[in-house]
Amino acid sequence: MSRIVNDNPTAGTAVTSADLNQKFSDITTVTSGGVDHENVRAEAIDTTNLDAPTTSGHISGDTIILSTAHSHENGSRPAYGSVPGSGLTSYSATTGPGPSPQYLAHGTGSELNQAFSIDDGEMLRVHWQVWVDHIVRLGGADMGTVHPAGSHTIGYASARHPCWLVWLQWETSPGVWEEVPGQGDFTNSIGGENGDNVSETAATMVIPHGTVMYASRFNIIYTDDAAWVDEKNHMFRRSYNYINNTGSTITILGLRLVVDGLYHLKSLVGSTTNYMVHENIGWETTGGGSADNIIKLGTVHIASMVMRKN
Amino acid sequence: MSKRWTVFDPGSKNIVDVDGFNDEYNTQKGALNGGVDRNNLPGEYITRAQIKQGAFHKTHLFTGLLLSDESIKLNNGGNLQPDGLDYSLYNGGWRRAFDPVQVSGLRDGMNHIEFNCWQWQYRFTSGFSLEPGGVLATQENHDHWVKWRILYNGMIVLETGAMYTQYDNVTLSADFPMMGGDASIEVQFAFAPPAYNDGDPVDVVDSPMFTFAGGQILLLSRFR
Repeated sequence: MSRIVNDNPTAGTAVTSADLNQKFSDITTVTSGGVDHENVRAEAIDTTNLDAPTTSGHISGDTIILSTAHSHENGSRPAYGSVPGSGLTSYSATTGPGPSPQYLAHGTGSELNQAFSIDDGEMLRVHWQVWVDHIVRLGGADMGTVHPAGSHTIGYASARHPCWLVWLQWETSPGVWEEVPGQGDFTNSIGGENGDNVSETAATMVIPHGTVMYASRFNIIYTDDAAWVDEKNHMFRRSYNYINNTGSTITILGLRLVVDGLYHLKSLVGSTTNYMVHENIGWETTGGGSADNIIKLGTVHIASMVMRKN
Repeated sequence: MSKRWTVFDPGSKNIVDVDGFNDEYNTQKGALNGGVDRNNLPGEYITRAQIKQGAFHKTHLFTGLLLSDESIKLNNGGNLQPDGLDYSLYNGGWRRAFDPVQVSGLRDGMNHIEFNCWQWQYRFTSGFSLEPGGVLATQENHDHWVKWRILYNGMIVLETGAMYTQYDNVTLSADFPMMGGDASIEVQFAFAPPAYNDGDPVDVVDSPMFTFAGGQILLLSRFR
């Protein structure tokens, strides 16, 4: 509070220069380091008064948006390939009793290796997108092959609804990557059928392993003679938000995505809880053509921002 | 405009009059006692430490949102099925995705709202068949879809088109002006109603059809 409330000289009294100087000294005293909202008019502060420089690379110093960073890949659609960092990257479905996520090491966009901190009361916002080049498309003629029942209805008994999962991790210390808060740990969950409860999937992106096309124009189910056809150019987006209410600062060294599959959605009998179950059973492995339980990923972008909650 | 606080300067030969001094002094005090504005403050001067909590904006985050409405949700008995919306309990129309979330203490300004989740739908359950005597597939009996919308104090601020993919990720955002006060935010979905063919149901009525999880609502209120 720096309101200046000292009295004025009174008319008719003897005033020395020292008395007058003291009046100005009083102003100096209350305004030296004490100017606050009492001194400032309503709506007096404009954006030019704010120390809000453009920042990037998780450099702190802003007022509301504290830091931003993003990873991306320039250029157009990469050529086919299977070498990480050049063209598309293929990931095969993992097998075995439990999940085994693979670091999504495609190009330069899948890891954001810039350190930042989230103070108590601050918020992390992350958006990412993954370009998927290969989604199995099942034609009507194949459905009877794939699904022995031949009903042309994809049911649960003969085939699950398989999907791939891409989820977000952060690096809490050099080389130590953990799931972000609100995201279950698929890696260390119980092996076999039971994965983590889907209530802990705040940073999970689902990508269908296949899709069935219907050509309403011909009033038929899509009847491609090929066992499956690659579907191109699917872009999947997902976002994640986290507010640090731990009471202490969280230091993060980087963000990255991991991918794993195949999963399918399941609830235990008698339970009202859904799970993502790791099981390497794709549609096409049950008949017709060769097994093709892979996913091909193209460009990956991650954008993150730390900002004040209030 | 507060920087013109000087009323006059005493002449060098004049006898200083206390009333003149007080005029000058009062004006200076008045300028500083609540009259400072952007012309007095230097550019890029106000840092984060000088901004009070909630001065410019307020953020609310609701997380862990998923389908839990037992009035439309099947508790299945199948080994490979998830729990989800059930046609024996749901016949179409907009439904609450979860209980509305409440926020308070907002002031006039603009809202930025985001809702995200992932979803699954049983797209292929319709009873069409290419077998002799089977029901032909039509758009009505085959295409299942999900739509989403967000209501702010009962007003629709966002509504999507139909989403058809059996697994998909929902990332919605809307910006709109707001009045000060409290607010209720409701997220609703609509799923394709069960299909009929000549009066006969062609959809499986006792299978889970749709569910979602991993949901978050982010409300970023920017004050005027």
